Amino acid sequence: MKQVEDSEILEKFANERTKNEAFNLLLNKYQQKIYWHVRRLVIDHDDADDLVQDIFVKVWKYLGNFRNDSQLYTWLYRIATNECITFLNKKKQKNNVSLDDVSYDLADKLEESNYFNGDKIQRKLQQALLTLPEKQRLVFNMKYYDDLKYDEISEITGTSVGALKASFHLAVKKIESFLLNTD
Amino acid sequence: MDLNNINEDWKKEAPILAAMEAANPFTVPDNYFTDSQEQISARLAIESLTGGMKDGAFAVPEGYFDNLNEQIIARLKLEEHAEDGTENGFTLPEGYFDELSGNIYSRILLDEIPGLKDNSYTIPDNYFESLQGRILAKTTEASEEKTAKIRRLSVPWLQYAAAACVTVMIGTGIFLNYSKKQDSDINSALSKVPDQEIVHYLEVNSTTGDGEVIAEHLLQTGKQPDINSEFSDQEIEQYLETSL
Repeated sequence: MKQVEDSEILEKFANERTKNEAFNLLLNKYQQKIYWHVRRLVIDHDDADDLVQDIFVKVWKYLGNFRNDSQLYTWLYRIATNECITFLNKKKQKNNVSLDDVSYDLADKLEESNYFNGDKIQRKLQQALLTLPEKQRLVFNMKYYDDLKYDEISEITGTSVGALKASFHLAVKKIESFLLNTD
Repeated sequence: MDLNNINEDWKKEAPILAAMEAANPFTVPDNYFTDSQEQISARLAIESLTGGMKDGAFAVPEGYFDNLNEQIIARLKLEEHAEDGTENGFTLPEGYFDELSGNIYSRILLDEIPGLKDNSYTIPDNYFESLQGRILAKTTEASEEKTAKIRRLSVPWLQYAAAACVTVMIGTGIFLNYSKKQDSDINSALSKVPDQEIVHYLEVNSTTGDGEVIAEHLLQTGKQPDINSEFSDQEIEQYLETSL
């Protein structure tokens, strides 16, 4: 099925009569990408589900203000990324624990999850990712799984391309070390 | 690692990771994305109804948030005060909670004794059926008896009463004059009666109990005593012992 162009979605969304249709097109095109981006960050399906709904409610509210100075999907990723970071920070504050402890919590969820069908090495990779600082994990996910370019990630995170490359480099080294040294 | 060519370089430095397929190991429940789209549409419908605000249907009094900080601080101070050993400002008898459970168990035991709460007194048959009637009968009678009758004083009665008063006053004056004259006649007649007869008369007619003592004394002395000087203390004491 041919993907609808972002420009067409925006044009229809601007028209009150076709606004709902436009939003359905947007959901069809981006819902899954946004879901997986969120899911890889928060691990738990239910948390991801709640966040995705919140994200698209925000998209509905603010899409009318979207300007074509950036691509639609980078704008969507930015909203999703901010929602995820806010969620993880709240989790940290609620439990009064450090980020490392949040990682342990996410690792537990990974173990308990009914919606994980990766093999042993895939599970090990996810465990390695959960040892990374939040930003490195974010950058690695967008580069490794979503295959986004650095300038796109830069637009999403508001971080310079150089800093993103360094973060990705450090993340790769830590993951390789984890895969080598952990049973 | 060359950061300018990092897309390729990292695979050399991380061969294990590079050898792995960048597959998605996560899954979702069946039909999740179809259902999710419907859920998002439902959420949006709710958002549009509430004006996009979760608490859009609620309002607060004007200036509520201006005073909220002060109110919270005041409340916190009260809470701190309450933690100073007294619970909500109330105090309890010493050892109250130590005895409370014992008291409760005692009450439970008393309640569980069969028949303890039953009324062991009996009443005549149909007592309560007739009680109300009897009470009403008595109270009605009492109220009838106690009812004050107000009568108006009539003018003819007043005239008769005034006439009666004048008559009584005149009659009393005449009687007093007559009895005074009669007293002097009685005194002169009594002086002629012998003492022995007077003593005898008193013995027969006296009802006070003092007569016997007085008569005996008169016989012993043979003259009428002077009350202020001629009785010794011993005599008075003897009199009191016999008469009282």
